[in-house]
Amino acid sequence: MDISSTKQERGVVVTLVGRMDAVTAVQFEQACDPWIKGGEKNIVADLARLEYISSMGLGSLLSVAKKLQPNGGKLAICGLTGMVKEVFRLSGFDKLIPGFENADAAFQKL
Amino acid sequence: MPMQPSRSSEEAGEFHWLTQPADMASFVALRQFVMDAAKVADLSEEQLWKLELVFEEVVVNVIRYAYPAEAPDTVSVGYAARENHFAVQVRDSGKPFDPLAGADPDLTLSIAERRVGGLGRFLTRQLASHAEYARQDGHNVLTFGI
Repeated sequence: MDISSTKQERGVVVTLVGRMDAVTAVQFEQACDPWIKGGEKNIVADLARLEYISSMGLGSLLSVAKKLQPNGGKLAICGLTGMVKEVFRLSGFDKLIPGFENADAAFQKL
Repeated sequence: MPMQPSRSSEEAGEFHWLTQPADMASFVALRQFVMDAAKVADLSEEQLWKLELVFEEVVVNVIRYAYPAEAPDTVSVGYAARENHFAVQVRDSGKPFDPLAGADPDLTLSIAERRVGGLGRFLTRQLASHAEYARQDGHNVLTFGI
């Protein structure tokens, strides 16, 4: 999985490309932790080019969402597609983590 | 110690097997072994991701929980491309454990209340066309189909 993060005016966008599985899921938390420690409140995970997610990937997203809460922050996602969208629906994560078309739309609501 | 999975049942004789140490370093090779076969079998895109996801959930569970850290052992993975489904069997010699048993996670809980674990079993039950657990000859044997 390739992962990159960009600081924007209203928060941080973390872009995930490839596969978020038992091997790679921890990369997401590793990418977010420094931002959270630095006081960032809102993170948007852009999943438009994520091809695969397992329960380990969902767990990594949930961990970050939990870490943001004490700061009054939120994790949102954007760009759900394909099997990732289906796994979000099956696991109830579509109700748990707010989803948007793109990062701009997410930051308007967070 | 090599396992003898084929004697467990007549059906298991048709499986193709790979046995590896039950650790994360082996996981990628085990997944490749099964997915390479699935890609040449006539599976749809949807069947392929369902297979990959259920396989990961089942095998990672064995790797993480089947053996105590001081006594690691192996996991065996077998596949059989059948006429109307793709069958996978996963075997370990850890303590008896049924990975399919247990309550579903409560999907209505909030972020603060929701636990990080427990989803793998739920997704396995949701996505496999069938899944069954047996304890055979001192082994945990999980068989599922996609």
